[in-house]
Amino acid sequence: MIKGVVYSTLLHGFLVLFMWMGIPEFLAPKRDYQPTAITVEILPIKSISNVKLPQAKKTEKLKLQPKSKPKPPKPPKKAEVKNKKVNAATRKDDKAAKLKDAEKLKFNEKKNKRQTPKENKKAEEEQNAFDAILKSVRQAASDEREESDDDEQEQASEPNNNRSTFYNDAIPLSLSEIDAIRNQIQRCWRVPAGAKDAHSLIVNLRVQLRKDGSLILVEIASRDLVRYNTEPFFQAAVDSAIRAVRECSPIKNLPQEKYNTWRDMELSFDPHELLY
Amino acid sequence: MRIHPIFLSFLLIVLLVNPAFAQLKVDITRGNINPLPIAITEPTSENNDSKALELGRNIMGVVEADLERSGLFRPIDRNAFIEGIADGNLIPKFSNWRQINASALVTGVVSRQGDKLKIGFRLWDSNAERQVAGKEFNTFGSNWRRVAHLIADEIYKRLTGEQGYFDSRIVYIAESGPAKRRTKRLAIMDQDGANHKFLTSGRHLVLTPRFSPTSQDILYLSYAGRQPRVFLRDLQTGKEESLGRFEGMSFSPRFAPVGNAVVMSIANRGNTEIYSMNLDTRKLTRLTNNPAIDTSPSFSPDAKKIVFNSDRGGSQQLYTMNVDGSNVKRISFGEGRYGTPIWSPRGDLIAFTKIHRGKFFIGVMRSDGSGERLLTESYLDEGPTWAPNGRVIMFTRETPPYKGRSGKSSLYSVDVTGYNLREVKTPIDASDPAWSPLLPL
Repeated sequence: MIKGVVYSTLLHGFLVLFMWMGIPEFLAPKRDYQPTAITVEILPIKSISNVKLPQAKKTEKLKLQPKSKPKPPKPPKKAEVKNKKVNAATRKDDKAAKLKDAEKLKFNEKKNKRQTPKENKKAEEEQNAFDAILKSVRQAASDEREESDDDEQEQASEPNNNRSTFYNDAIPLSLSEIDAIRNQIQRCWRVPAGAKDAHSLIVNLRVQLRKDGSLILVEIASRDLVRYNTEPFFQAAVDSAIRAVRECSPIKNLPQEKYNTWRDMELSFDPHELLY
Repeated sequence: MRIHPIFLSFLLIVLLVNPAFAQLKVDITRGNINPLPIAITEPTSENNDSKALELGRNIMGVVEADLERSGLFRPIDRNAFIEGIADGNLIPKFSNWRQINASALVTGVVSRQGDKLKIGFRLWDSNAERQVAGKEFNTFGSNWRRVAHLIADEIYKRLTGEQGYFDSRIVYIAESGPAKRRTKRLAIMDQDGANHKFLTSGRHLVLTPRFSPTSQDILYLSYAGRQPRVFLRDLQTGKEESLGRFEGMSFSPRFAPVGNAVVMSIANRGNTEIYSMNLDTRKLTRLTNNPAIDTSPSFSPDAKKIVFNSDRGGSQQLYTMNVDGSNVKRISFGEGRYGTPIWSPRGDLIAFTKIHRGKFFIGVMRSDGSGERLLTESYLDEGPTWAPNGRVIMFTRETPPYKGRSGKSSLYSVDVTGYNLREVKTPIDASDPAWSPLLPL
């Protein structure tokens, strides 16, 4: 009898444990497994280097100009109007305590639009100096321009299609690309220096990004939630990490063709190297 | 065992359904130690009571100064504020505060009734757009400084995870007069230098004051009488008493963490040993027995160990032992001499004075002696004492003598990380600081 009860409680215990640990995982959105061992492509660095990325963008920006010349005044006034719109939008946004995702998306798109005219202006200024060099670039780019019709959205959704002809769901980021992300966030992170047992204050955050690098969501990894609610040190450390991500967003220079790899990532804030 | 396979299969299932999270993982291992920008607004008052508003302004001024002094926060100049807070109870427009880079925002509401004061504050995270802390205090108007320190402590605690230390006091030796006939008086002040008070007249030389960890008593060495002895003083009543006449000179006292016992050194016939005394029974127990000089004992916060310095190994080094005197272990192995160890209230570190090649350093090491780090260096740095949260160290710094005059002695504080070294302002020369525990509420 007693034996049976013992077995029964044991098995029930396991069942409960199993449900407790397992079921949330089932419900969570599925993510594709990708081994963390970074067999980093020293080779592909040449073709997918993040150094090239800004260059490629430049050509795209510049392409816009010859186009806007025939159909005259596009950039400056519109830019101002849009600026105002954006400002108005920000004010509106503030009234609402929290933005819905959809709204945020819109807002960000507007933001992108706002940025381009500025960049255009800048480019105009620089144009004279670079004219000679750029002629050839412009020509080379002109065919492609006709395909992608002026809009930034498309630029965001179909980036660099000249280079990445193939589409792979899980191209691992190269070391330098990971470093680029790391550097941006490290700049914003205030380490919990001098905290007691700081080496144990490793904070894992789940971060979801849009294609433009802006933040959809940042949250503490679910496995750390209990600790967050019980340990004030950990709570402060988590808050400071989240602050860093928020202050650093949008994250720049992300390789667009690898969006699927970085759209949902885990950031691990580990202060142990910094502290005695 | 019959149960075995079932057990295993369950384990297997549990393990299997918990697949490794398949994400890009980026390790962030570096950061900065820039202070956190914080906007501290003036509290609002419902009926615009000007006196209440003024008190509120003063309180937030003290809060601001406290946070700034900690080195972990950078209060933003009020002139830079875009938004004026009309009502401290309402949710602020966070974008206005993000725009001036305020990561945290403090708002408040103050009201007054007779000499009673009511002040509430809210701490907002302007990035997460939510309130992260808030409290209301009811007190007498005359108590406003104390309330300010309590508010600063709350903010500090929520943003760093650490207990605050602003609601505390410092007792120290105030020095005046020429080098040969120095007057030394016991003095006490709030941690920010306010409410300064001399406790003794200066007729007798006093040294090494120490705060009791639980009550408002202090121990110190006084030359009243024929030989220097350890005295106990009740801060509330001002009553002082000698711990007893011992054979030989008693010095270097320190309280046990529970406050009912004291450790000190007694020098007798050229041999200095460490004794502990129960304050209730006044029973004296000898802890060390060694022909060398054993002195400067300090309890660990769990009251299980004592750290002290001794020259039994040839040069002056730090040792730990159990409270009964057993299990003596040397913990300092660096070059130079080590002295005046003091155990952090947090328990993780021991602060000490180090003397090497004619220079003085204040340093910390873990309680097992590993991870030694020197935080300061000067002509003369000595006598560290810990803030109640084990985060800040205060010590005495003396400048070299100049044209026959003795150097200037003053108090300094430094963060345990070695950053944020600052002078603590005192009305006259100062030495031998001792930090109180957090004041009882």
